[in-house]
Amino acid sequence: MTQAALQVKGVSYFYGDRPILKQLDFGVEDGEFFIIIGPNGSGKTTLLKTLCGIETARSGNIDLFDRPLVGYSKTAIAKKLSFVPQIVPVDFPFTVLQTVLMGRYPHLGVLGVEKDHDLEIAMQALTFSGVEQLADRRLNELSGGERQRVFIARALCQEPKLLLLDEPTASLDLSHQLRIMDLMEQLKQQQGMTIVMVSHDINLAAMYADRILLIKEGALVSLGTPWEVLTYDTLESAYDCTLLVDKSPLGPFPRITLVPRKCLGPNTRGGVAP
Amino acid sequence: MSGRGAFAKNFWLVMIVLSILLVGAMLLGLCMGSSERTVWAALKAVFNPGEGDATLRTIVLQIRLPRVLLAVAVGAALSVGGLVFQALLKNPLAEPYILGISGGSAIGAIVGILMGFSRFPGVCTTAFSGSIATLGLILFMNAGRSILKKESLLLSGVMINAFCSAVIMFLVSLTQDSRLHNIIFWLMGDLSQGNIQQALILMGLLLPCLFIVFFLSNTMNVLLLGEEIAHTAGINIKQVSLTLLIVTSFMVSTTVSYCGLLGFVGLVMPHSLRLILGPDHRILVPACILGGSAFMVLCDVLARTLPEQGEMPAGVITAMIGAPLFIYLLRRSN
Repeated sequence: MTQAALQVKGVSYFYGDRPILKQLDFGVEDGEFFIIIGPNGSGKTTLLKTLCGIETARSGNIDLFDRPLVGYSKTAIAKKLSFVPQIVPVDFPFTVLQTVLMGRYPHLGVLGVEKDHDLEIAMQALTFSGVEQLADRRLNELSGGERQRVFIARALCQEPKLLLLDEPTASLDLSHQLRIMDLMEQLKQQQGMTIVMVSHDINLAAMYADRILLIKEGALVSLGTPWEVLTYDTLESAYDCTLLVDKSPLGPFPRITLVPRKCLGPNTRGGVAP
Repeated sequence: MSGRGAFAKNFWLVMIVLSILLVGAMLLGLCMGSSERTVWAALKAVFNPGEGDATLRTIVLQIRLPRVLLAVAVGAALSVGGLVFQALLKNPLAEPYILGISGGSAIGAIVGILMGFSRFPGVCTTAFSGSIATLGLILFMNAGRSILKKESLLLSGVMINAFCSAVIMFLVSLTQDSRLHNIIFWLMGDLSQGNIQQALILMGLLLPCLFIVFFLSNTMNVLLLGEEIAHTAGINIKQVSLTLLIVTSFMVSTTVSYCGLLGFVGLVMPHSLRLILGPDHRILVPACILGGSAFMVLCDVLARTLPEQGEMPAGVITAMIGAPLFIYLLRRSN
């Protein structure tokens, strides 16, 4: 049995009186690529923020590497996990290197002056994310995909064991989407990083995830391997639309095709077994 | 690569250049005035009491030196105040004067003056209460809504300022005696009333605040990347923001109680320095302290020397430079 990076037990979250997360139970194993999917407003982002302590659950417990999350100091959490938000404000144009170096924050002293060692780690993170040639550029000069990779580099520079990302591929073009996902795959393979990602793109999730968590209206719908979660019945009821699920021509994962109304016919709905 | 070595090199280069600028401005401040003498005469009068001009020595030490020191303290405090507000509200247009914090302090200060309190600690305390009340009002008005929205924040500032002006005018109109002229002159931002003791008290009050802000400068950098990143980098956002807002309000209210309303200093200096030096607060905080001081001393020199007769309040100069810059920034940001 591998160690659990995260163990979520009966977690509920309310916004005022409105329940956002309802009694969620699941675990994320160490070294796993774990993707959370679900329709809009299902509470994916809130769940992600609850997992890294930005939001506090009203009830239930979260264990981070087998210790209660609430027992950690803020700095101790920052040394275990780091977060890549969906949108980062760039009104104040730091350079790429400055931004990535800020990942060292929890490791620095009071005045926050970086040592050579910190710079080395930042350069490694830049190189790994493939943005080392942008080091001296300013954030507001970058494209969306470049910016996303810079914030991934910043998160890596924090030297976490667990990386949480909120829809990192949203609003990126196809090649940048693939690049980010390949980067995550590489992180998992080479460094044994645990990755928890919220995603809208079910096909990307199907190709990369070890396990997928599907939530709807804050409740767990399905949890398991892509083949277990991405079945025709589950997806149709969760997303309320017609889909076609078959085997991807690329390998042993499901492929999901949206079915527009004009193509509806007797043979266009359904799914296949693995 | 601009790494640690380069950071330290940049840091010290900026500090040295700005220090030279500040020393130059202070010397100019000591030498310029209604009795026109050369720099050398003034220096000789101060450092060579035997040979120099005794009258000039008195003018330089008793009148100009307190003014220059007051300007240094006020310039540093207001520039850093502007810098902190801009970072916390993630809005390059935020500034204590524009948001109405200065106006609130002024109401408090006038109440203190009218009640006959001494400058310190009496007037300082009432001014601080006024600034905290305004700060609370701004945060309350923007609670729930996103305080990052430029327009709503600036609009609430405009309204608070208008309200503060009304209250100030009300208080002034109640005042009958000779204090009226003093209050009005002081309101416009006046450095001429200070003596050396006051200047030193003000510096003593501001110094710890500046240190606190400097210690939090890297934290401010991370805060600018948004709440999610700041939080997961281990920052207690509420605690840090509250500390910074209260410390800054204290600095602003203290300078208001000594020198009245000096507008736009907190906009001009942080903005110009950010354009030149980039947004790293570990450099910007000390740069604002040195640059803001030098700017304020120079503004005061202009206020003293521009009019043919007498002088005008330094706040007139800072507003004449600052207001157009504000309009330019607002246009560009849209």
